[in-house]
Amino acid sequence: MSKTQIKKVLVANRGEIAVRIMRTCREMGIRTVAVYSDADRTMPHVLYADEAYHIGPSASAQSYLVMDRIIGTARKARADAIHPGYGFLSENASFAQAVSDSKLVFIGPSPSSIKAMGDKTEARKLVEKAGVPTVPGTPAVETVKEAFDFCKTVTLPVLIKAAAGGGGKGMRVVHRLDELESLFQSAQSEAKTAFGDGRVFIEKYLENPRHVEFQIFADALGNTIHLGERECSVQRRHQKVVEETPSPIVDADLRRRMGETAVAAAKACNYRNAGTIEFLVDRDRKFYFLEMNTRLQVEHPITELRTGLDLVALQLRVAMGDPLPMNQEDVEFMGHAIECRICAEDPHNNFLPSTGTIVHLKPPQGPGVREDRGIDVHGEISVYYDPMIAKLVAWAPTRSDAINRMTRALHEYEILGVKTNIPFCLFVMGHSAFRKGDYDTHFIPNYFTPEKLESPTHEQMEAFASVATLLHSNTRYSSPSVVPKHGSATTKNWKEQRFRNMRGADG
Amino acid sequence: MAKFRVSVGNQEMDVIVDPGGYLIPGEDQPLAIQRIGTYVFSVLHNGRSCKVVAYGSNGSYQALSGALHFEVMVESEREQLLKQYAPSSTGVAGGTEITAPMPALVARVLVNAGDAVVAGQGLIVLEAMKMENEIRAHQAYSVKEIKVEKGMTVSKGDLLIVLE
Repeated sequence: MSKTQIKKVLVANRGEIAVRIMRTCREMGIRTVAVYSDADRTMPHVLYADEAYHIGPSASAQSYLVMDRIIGTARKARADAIHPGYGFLSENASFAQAVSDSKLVFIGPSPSSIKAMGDKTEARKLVEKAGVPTVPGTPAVETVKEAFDFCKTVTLPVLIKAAAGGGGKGMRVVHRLDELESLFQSAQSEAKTAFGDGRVFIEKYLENPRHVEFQIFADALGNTIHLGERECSVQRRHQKVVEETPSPIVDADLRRRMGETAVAAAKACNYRNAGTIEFLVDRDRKFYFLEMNTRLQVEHPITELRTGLDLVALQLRVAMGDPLPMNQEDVEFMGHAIECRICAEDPHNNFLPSTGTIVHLKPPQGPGVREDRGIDVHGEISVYYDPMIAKLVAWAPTRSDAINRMTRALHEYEILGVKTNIPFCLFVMGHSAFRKGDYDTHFIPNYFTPEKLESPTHEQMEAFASVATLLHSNTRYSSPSVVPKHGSATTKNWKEQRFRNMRGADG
Repeated sequence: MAKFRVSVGNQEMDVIVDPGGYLIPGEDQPLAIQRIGTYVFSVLHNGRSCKVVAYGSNGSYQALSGALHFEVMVESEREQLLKQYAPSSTGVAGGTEITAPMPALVARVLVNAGDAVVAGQGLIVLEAMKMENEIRAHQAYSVKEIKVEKGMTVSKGDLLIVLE
């Protein structure tokens, strides 16, 4: 492949990932183009970019998912390339194809690799041929009857998954046959909303597995390496909440074997650019291919901190036709990194999404802390997009130091205006099973109840009460240090004064 | 001096505002508060330092300190007294009302008025932040009235379905 110059990149995304991609572009002297919906006019990705263009109404189906408008905007802005980020159009083969048909570089894999891995049932067949172990399951099914037929051949529970999916969207666990129909329909409908493709498939649900994924990278010359694993077992409703690297259960030998398998799976679809091979690992540390994510992953920063590499820079270089700057043996791993996804969800109330405007925000600082965020003070968390506010990442030489550092950083994080899952992240960091590294994907159902969230100390209670009283008396009366005495009432609070006189409350 | 009744989480306490600071019965020293910004306060009490971020109005406040987020309700003595004489709100007689647990879009309504539903049956599917949440009946009911339709945006607490 000949070298391609990339001087201007359109980022077809929003939020923290759009800002994160633009940061690397700026370091590399590449100009950036943002796109935005009605709701996102003043969001950080628009402010950060060199250029920004409106692409439609707030609903993503009418803005961030409209291929023609995004490609048209890239051409109008004379961008050379499009970076899709994660979610939205990142794993849409037709989009990747349309981008290259428009003589633009798609920063990611080829349309055929996306297609091969995007259909989860086809992907399984493909990697099985390359000798990669997989979990038993069906091809894509269309009717509830087909789903029933498979369920009769295995022991429940089974998992319904979107054929086009990822990120937990359109995924349902079926424990009883009488739940199948309504869960099947709701999975289909959610898959259709999220991916524009309602096909689902069913596979046997492994009990108590760990979710361990491998970051892989491939250049256009076919060099393929892995950058180690990420342990992503702390999940709520199949959505990752906390990720760490290295995994507490992966030793050097398992890392080598899983890494080689991941590379083989990537090579099976002639992969290039950044990708992730997700595995389930059972109690006996046997691993099974789950799926491949053909894009940059949300949790990529922990790999960056442990390897010292900038994955977006590597993506851009590979997209320009450069060979990978290192071999497998050159990849060095150092220390331990943890990520917490800070989301607008209320852990006291079944993690219900919390919408609203952020009135105050102060991120943690200090040694070993990285925070990637795409929303700022005055920004609004709406029902249109993901509830993720930021990714908080901590690095330290050892796992226990990294946990302590993350705990410290979480305590520093100030967000007011929406409820967040920070108290839940603190619960995870403090839990003995997590501290021991002995946990699986059932960590939350097994251990978490809202009563276990940290409660305020007596001092904090009193401080809260006093500050709230200050706010209350400031709005109702005058400043707290000049509470009126008898006979010094101002016109403004004459009613209160009269009331007090009447009761003789103020001695 | 003005006295306030304050509830933090499930605890209640009195706070007395006096020129020396904020006095809480049982404490010999008042709490000293410095306002640093619109929402940011420094509280010192017996040498202990506590940074609090808070906002709100009309007696209901959100406060945050060291990652702990709490709702704080404040009433002056007068407001407490007024409340005693205010008419208490009347409950709705009979039936069960299904309200929206979160702001969301109505993805699908799974039942019709007049339907008999069994325990565990799905009633309505709400979509928030691209995730679907199915609300199910917790026991057998008949559907009296459906207040929303597919595609509508609902706020937290909005009435969706009336069962009886």
